[in-house]
Amino acid sequence: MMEKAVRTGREMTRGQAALFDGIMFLLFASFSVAMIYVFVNDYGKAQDEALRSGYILAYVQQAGKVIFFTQVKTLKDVANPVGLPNAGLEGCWKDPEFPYAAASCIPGTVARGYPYSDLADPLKGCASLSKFDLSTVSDLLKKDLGDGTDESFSCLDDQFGNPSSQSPGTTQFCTVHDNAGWRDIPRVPGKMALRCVMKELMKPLQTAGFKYFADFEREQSAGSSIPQKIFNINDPDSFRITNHWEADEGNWYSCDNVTSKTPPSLEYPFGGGGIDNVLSTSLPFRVNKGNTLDETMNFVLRVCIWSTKVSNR
Amino acid sequence: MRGAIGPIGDDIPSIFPIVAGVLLFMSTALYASNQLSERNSYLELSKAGIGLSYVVLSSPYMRDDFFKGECTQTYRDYAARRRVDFLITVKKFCHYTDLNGDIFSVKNPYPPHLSLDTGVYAGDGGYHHLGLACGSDSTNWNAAQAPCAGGVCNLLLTGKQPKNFQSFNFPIAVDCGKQEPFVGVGTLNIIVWRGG
Repeated sequence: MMEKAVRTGREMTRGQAALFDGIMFLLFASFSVAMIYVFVNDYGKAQDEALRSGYILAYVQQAGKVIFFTQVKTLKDVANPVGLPNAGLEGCWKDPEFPYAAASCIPGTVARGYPYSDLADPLKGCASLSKFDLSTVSDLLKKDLGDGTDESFSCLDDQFGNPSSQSPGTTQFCTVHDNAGWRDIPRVPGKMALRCVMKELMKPLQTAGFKYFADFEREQSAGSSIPQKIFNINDPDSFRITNHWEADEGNWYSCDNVTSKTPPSLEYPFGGGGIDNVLSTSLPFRVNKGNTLDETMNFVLRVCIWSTKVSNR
Repeated sequence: MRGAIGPIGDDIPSIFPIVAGVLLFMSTALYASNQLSERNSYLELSKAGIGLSYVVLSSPYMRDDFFKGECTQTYRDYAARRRVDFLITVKKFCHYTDLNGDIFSVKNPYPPHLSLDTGVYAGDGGYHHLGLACGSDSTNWNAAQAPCAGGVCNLLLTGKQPKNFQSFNFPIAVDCGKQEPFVGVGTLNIIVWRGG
């Protein structure tokens, strides 16, 4: 009896040892499996990310090139497509990131949180572009920018020059028409044309949750964007070329404002955007100064784009 | 060798975890192999699609005759070298971009001056409504212009639509005018796939 018990104990010990070996093998196998899953999970993500960025950049570059060909008269309906289901609503696209309670948007009038609301204005909005039968977007832009006398300052204000009575400010560097009042100043809506065409060109990316901002900077001095007007919702010239409410109301004038993390200040009421995942592309944009053909101002049109976490559908 | 009950009896307890470990490892390796193969295929298709996009986007202004010429001379050759099937559609929106349409079609659903309330065609406003299409030879795309009904001319694409495809959308400048030439905004859809 005693011998049988001892023998059984020895048999159990051998069985446990064998089982231990098997379990150790299973543990090693499980560890290997976990490593494989980690590898498989990460495989190709960096490449995929690079390909997506390549696609987005190609898209934005293409949008920048298209403005050189698009005739502005085809843009007259983009903010108010008469006869279509979206008539009146196109200008009332609300920025989903607008954090405040937005007022209801009435087509053709401006409202906070609606970056395109002024584009539907029948007199000064995209509809006003129908008068320029042969001009392309870049034609109007070059004329609008070309009234500057110093490329450090922006004359991107939808008009060619200023009356002699213009009070000093950034626009004092625009061509001055002697003995002329505001009503005599030729209207050249280059900025408006760019905003109208960008609204159309960026529509697919905007639907996918992307925001964009476009600015002009001096070619010879990278990173030095030309200033823009202080935002006033009742002044269409002060709207930025963007679909981001904060860029308008925060007085941004450069793609640098998108990435910077500056705190709110008097100059920038909402501070910098502090956005990290920004892609940008630049195109050379040379402009004849004033009415001359032998003097140019060398600008760069820069478009930056970033994704939001809010669906825009 | 006291306590030993034989070569099989001694090892029976360890056989189950060993078999489980081998099965787990083999099935995971098989799964990983399939996943890697699938992702490689996805990335290869993406690269081919973006490569084809760069070729097509060499001109930001897509004139009708230029597109037709490049379709036969360049796009098909490039796609054949990358071993992908493709369909390129150019939609001429010209006055308003609508994104709700079918990317396989070149129909512009909202031409100007078409009353949606009554469906009555009130003149084409001088705009082209017919887009452009270019497909690879192996897809048997039969492009035929359907009769224009109510001002809407639809280019019918009667090929077999692929299941697993990738599409890339770009803005492009297109010919819009029927009587007199003028240039407006359109969209370019590049769809690529492999293996019908």
